Amino acid sequence: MGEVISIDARGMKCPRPIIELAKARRQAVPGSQISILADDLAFESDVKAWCETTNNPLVQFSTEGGVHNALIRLG
Amino acid sequence: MNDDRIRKLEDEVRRLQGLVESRDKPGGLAIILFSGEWDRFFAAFTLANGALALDMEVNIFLTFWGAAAARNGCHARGRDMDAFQKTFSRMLPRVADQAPLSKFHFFGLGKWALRRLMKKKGVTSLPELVQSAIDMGAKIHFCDTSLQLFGWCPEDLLGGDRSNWCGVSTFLSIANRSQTVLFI
Repeated sequence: MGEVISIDARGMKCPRPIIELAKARRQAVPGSQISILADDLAFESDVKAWCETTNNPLVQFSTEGGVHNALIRLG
Repeated sequence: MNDDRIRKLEDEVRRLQGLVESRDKPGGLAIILFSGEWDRFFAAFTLANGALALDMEVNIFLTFWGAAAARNGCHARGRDMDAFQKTFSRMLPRVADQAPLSKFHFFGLGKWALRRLMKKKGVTSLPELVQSAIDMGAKIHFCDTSLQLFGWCPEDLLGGDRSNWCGVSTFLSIANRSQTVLFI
């Protein structure tokens, strides 16, 4: 079980949350997980597309009060 | 004889591995940035950042007004430029962030209002987007002819590197292996 990196991308607009996600992945070791909070409207579809394209599975996704919380396992 | 066959097989395996890997990697994005307006720069660099986040290779070819607007802030004083080039140098934006909007500019009032709104809404600024794209590995290419036309040197420009100057054929060969090509 690798470490969990937390990113708070609340208040950031597209494409910033995804850029933060990509930057965190570049520094992380494989097997780590990234937990990211974002309230951008496009984030749900964007994070799913990112996970699919970069082959990093989306482990968990939830939305509460307009804030999305995604947990991604880095392959 | 046997060694020779093994070597040939190894080469073939490497070639096939390369093909499989390139199929797994998302296709590249090539942008021809012809326009020198702030909003079009913003669109181009937003797309570039998104593509880089998706592991795509990104190449941006700055040509004509796009190349003219991609200076790094210096004024190019004391250069060997003729009167027209000096006038262009003085009148064109010194950095892309100073460029006008393609519409609703209203002598700068529209741009001021738009930037204020974007800041309030947490939209990433243009200089941040440009820096982020470069940091994540976007390759910026400048049209050689455009730069010679305006009389600008590598140190006047984004990246400041002569090796980024290229011609149409170089960029088209890059565009040819990119899956998405945009003209902005």
